[in-house]
Amino acid sequence: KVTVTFKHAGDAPILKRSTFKLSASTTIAMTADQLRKQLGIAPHEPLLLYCSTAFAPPLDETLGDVAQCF
Amino acid sequence: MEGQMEAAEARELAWAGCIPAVFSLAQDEVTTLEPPPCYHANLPRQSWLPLVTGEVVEHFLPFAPPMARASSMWMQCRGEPLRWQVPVGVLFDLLTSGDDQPGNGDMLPWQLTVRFQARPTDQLRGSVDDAKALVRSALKESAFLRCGSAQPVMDLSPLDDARIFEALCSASPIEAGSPAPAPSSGGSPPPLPPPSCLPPASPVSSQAAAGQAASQQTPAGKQGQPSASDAPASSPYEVYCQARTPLEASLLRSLGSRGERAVPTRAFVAQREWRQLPVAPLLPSGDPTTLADALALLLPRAFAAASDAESSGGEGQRPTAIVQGVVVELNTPVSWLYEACSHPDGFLYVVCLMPQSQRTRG
Repeated sequence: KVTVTFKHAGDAPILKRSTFKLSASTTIAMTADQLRKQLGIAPHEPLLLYCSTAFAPPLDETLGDVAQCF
Repeated sequence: MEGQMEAAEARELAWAGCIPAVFSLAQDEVTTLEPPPCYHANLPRQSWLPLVTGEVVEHFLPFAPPMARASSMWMQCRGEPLRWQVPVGVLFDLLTSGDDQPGNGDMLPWQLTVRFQARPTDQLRGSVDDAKALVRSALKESAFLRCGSAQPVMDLSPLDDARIFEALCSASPIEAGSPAPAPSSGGSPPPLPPPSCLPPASPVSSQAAAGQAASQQTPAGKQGQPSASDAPASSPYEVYCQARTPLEASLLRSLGSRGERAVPTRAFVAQREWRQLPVAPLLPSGDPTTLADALALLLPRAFAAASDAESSGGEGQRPTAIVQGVVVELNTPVSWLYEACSHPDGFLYVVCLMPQSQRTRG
């Protein structure tokens, strides 16, 4: 399990709960899909996820690898 | 080190690597009486498909269904969709390598099918801007791995940023747009110049073999046609180096007296099976980390199985590592390999071919 904390930036909606525990094998794309459901963002609307406010990790990278790298 | 090629020399060779490719429009998407001629191009190993296939789109779009758009183009290799997010050379090595050998000679020219419809839902659109965003993000990611900050990449000047993509977008088409016999039954494609790939099965650490073999091959794409612009013609490698130098200097300033935190490495087993973990440049003992150490970290199951087989007297069970189209000996220092063979996004891509015994997974 990986503990992930989300911070909103720009005009992104604010999450009711910002910290989640997700499986290490979850990909960034799956995480984005879950966030869309939480925030009510339609599939055609853009949602950008940045790691350490620096870069966007590849969508098929797993959370476990991202956590170990950064 | 004796017998080891200089990293700069190997890096220049890697940049000269090109893959002759033949693009053809999928037959079920041809809407004209005459099918379009195939499009031949020399694809640079270091780049990404959306950055070097703009002319392919322009060539086939007039023959495609009426609702087709440039942004909807995607490609297949032997029926398998290509992930444009993976560098060209890595894609080729992944899709065309045989049991334990890179498939450079047998699979040339690389036959690719262009489609404009029915893109798989998990296949993202790949425009030039999307590819540039991916490369920029990967540059920041690799800088973060090396020095703990993406600031050196954020401090890149617009000129250096433009130079990086000028180098990546420089493809060397073989008589761009030249018609070829339509891919009908019994037809054979016209002969192509010798492939401009790194010599196969030549470990990078073998100075004599790699140096001599590479010098015998003339990169068809590197010499190419003279530039029509007023600026003096520079090779993509030279243009890239102009941008890379200030970036490296900025990275070194961020590091200060500390050594690099990690060597940005990505190990691919298939297009969608890859790992990225921080690979330390030195082992706890102080010895340089070898490629075997790095792959044991990135692909523990494959290398654990290989070690078990070797300890029980088995042979030939270790996965084969291919970097820039060349089989690399597993005792190669990963820091040297990174300096010599990393891609422009700052990552070292290693393609791992599993032995036959490990191909079938439960």
